[in-house]
Amino acid sequence: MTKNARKSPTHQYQDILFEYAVGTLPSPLSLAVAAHLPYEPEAFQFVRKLEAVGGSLIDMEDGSVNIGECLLEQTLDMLERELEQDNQEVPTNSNDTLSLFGKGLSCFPSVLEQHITTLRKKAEWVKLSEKIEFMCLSESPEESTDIFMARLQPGASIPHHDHDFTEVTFVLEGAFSDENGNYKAGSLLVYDEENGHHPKACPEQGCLCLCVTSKPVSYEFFKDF
Amino acid sequence: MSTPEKTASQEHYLSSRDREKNLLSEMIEAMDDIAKHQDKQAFIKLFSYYAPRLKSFLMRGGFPEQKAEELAQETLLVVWKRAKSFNPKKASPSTWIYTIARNKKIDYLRKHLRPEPNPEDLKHDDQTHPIDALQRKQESEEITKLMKDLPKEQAKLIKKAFYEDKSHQEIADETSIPLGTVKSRIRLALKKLKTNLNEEMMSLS
Repeated sequence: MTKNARKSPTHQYQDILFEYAVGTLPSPLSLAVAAHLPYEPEAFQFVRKLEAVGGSLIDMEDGSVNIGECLLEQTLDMLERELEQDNQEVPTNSNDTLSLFGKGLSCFPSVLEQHITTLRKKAEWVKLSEKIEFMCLSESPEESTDIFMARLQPGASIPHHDHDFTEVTFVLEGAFSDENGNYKAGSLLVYDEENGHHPKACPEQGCLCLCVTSKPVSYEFFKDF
Repeated sequence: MSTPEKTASQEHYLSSRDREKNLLSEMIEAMDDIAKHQDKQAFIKLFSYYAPRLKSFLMRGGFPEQKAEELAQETLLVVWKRAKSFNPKKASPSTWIYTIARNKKIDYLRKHLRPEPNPEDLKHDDQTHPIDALQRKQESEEITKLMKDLPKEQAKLIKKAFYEDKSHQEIADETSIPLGTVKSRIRLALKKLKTNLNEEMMSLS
């Protein structure tokens, strides 16, 4: 097997893809993965293959299990009703989405617009320091958040930090680097209790990231940023 | 040259492998009839194959019988509604239906809609090698075999993850296996599956 992986997936990265495919990954983390997959063919295929494993597990199930007597009939009635009210497409209202960099986002995956309702409301940037801003996207953001965006001006850096939770970062625009590599738009990074990091925004472009965490993080966490 | 039609008596001598292959073609055909003609007979065929299997699959995840039936029903209704978006060249009906059942399960348990990548956002070519029914059959046989060949404890953890709505942490808590061990066993199993699946995909292209 050739090993020239331009981005060799870390253990954590593979764990996350697995949990996404089997459906056990918590919602906000799944959102970052869904945003990332269109950018990474290998990950996309990996998830597909795991889904094929899921399909074969269904084939291996016992086909002689009893099904409620009326279930088929009831289902057919439901189809009938479906046919009657066919083609009632729900219109999507996407034009009230926030434009984050003024010029609009070149890579804002539509899955994020669909799922982050706060994006369609008026969310605001909060300055954490001279070069770092933060926007909470949680539904009830009183004391903590599990989904937020971070905007780093060119060259900005965040002090080295550890987590006692899993943090998944999806790079929306620009790029950043840390001890482990450089990440351009579309990349997905996974950090957990096993690995801390010291992120630096690309000196030319700065960077815009979506961050999601496995459990809500208190705002205290950001006070040194 | 045309191949001779199989008569009813010959049908009896079909190997189980052939029956499975026929089953797959039948399911693909049924999907097609639903997509094109909203064919209820085709739906009934699909329902009789998948409803019990989905029910049984969901019950393994701890759903009570009635809820498992309900979710199986909802899954098959989605199959009916979205039949047009099914592409047999990209996935087998079982794989596609698995993803719908998984998402239904998540929507129910989390009260959250499952985020799925939008195909229109794809920045790379979809590299899934389009394959025909026979190759699809080989693929699913291969996967089944790979799952069976995995060391017991690895297979057990992988299946547990598919059946139950349990994170690695929850599996660790429940089985009293340390989290690190759960993760590394799953990683090992995946590595095997992945290497073999990659070879499998290569041999198909």
